[in-house]
Amino acid sequence: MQRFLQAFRVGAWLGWKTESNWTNPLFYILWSLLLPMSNGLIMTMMLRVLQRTGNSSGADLLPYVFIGTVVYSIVALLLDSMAWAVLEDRERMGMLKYIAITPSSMYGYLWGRGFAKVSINFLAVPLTLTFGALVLDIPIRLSTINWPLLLVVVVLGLLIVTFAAQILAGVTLMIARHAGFVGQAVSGALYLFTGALFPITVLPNWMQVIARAVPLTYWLEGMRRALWVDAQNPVYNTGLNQLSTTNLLLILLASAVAMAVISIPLQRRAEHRAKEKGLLDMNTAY
Amino acid sequence: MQPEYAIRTVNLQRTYKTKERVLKALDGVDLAVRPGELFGFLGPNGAGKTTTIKILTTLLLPSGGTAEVWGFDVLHEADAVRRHINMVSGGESSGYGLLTVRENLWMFTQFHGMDSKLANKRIDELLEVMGLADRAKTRVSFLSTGLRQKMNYIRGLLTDPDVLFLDEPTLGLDVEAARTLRTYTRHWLDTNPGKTVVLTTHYMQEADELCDRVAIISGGTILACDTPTSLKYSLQQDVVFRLFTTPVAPAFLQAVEQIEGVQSISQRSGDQRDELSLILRDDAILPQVLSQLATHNAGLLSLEKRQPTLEDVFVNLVGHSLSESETTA
Ligand SMILES: Nc1ncnc2c1ncn2[C@@H]1O[C@H](COP(=O)(O)OP(=O)(O)OP(=O)(O)O)[C@@H](O)[C@H]1O
Ligand SMILES: [Mg+2]
Repeated sequence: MQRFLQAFRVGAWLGWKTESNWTNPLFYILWSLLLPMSNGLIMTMMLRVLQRTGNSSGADLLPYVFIGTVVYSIVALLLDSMAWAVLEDRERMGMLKYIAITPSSMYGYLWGRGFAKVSINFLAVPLTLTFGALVLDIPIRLSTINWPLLLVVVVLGLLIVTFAAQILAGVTLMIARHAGFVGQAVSGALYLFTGALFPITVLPNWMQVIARAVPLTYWLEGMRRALWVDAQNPVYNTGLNQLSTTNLLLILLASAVAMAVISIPLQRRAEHRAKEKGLLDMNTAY
Repeated sequence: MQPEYAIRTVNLQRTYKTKERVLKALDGVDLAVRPGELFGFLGPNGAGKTTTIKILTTLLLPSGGTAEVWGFDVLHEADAVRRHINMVSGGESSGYGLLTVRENLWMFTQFHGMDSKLANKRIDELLEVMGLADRAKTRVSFLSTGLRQKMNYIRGLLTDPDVLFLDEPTLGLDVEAARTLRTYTRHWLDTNPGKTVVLTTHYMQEADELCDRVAIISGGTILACDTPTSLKYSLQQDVVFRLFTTPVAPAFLQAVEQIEGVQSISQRSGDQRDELSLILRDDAILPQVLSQLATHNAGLLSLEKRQPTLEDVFVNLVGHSLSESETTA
């Protein structure tokens, strides 16, 4: 545990040092708003265009889409962060081997890197949601937010994504190639399968099966329920409105535990495999 | 609490499997290094030096045999091994470009759980030694390759390891910096009894002057392992000549190798002339070599009888000189 914390501290410190290299805090705020805001705006515009061309089912999906895309932006960032740290340290910095020979925990170090990434970018989510509420008239009101639910869902969701990121990092560690695409591919695919952009009911049946097996689907649903009073209204036909919030939380909890149970031995396995193949000081001619 | 051996390997094996072939990089390496030794690895490219170091630093698993560092098994007690070692490899430019020199170094002391104040004190001392003191606040991305390497060397020493692995640490350093590094490494060993250094190098002189013992490795096996003096002494019964000639053809070298009593001949081609190192069992064989020179239409420019060097030992064992292997590699 002490080794984990030590390494976590160093990882977080390094992440902050290298990724928040802002001379001016204003730039930082602008930067952290840019990505989720542009995502949110693009989706909003698309939705408006679609509704105008008459494809509307009557229900205004704007809050659904807006919350989904904004929350998902942090998923994408975090999911990729640890795999990226592995690649960057191994290939560009040539430092992974020097970290690997220290008596610290690589697992803890990667958690630190992931934590830095989330904490640097996290502010963007409430800021963008506020922007949505004020400018796009998204029905999120301080008085109607279910704060306790929000807190629980945020914590469980971040745990799930962090463990998932850890699994991706483990996979990257075992791949003898510049595997920068792994994280992107996964976060791209999940965008489709988590109902971030549209309710999963629009997917073909077999894809819905996949979507229902992805924990993040329930996370986004949980976030919507916490932030938006009308989230469970059957008119939106999200495919999840029958699910009680208690069961939703249980699914999230079980997922977090399951992901932890997979990720911890996987990391150990990945380190062993990397040592077997001599990949820790790999340089794949970046 | 020193172990009996700083490093001990028995029948160490390592194979690399690629799509095309299976390569035996280490083929039964036995090593026994005592605490306090400065132990050198000398060998041509691809001999297995880096592979050995990677196994000993827990970066790579052996395919067979056993290896212990500071009394701990590299396979089953990797964490314990890591508490006692550090490693520096030369000829690369590693480091976090966005961090300053000091931040880079400090970061690594934290992986070892070092007290921050002590760490900074040591960083200052070592920056001073390596002549980097005025660069402490410079971003690493602004450092030249050589300066990064000095920083890397400091990183290796910073945690005060019991066994320090240096893989070609002076590769790419200028003469002055290389000398500083060698002198300091020796000084560090002399002032910290029991500390052990394993060094790989291509520079004969570095191995000769610096190392207490040298292992000559080629093709994944150790051909000889002794003090530089004893290694050279093994050639003492032989005579070593250095000849400068007009350029000679490979046929000449082959003809000389056929002569009874010629231990080895190696060639270093220069501008307009060749330098030949000749190891003979006896002075009396020299005339035969010279007559071959005439047969092959080459002229003798100068001839000198000299003491055997480590290079001669190397040539005698490996069959060619280090510089030759570098040009053909
Ligand atoms: N990851 C790898 N995959 C396949 N073969 C490898 C790998 N690493 C090293 N080898 C091969 O193993 C052999 C030994 O390599 P090693 O790096 O140990 O040599 P070395 O003595 O350090 O050489 P040099 O003086 O060039 O640094 C070489 O033939 C090399 O090509
Ligand atoms: Mg090498």
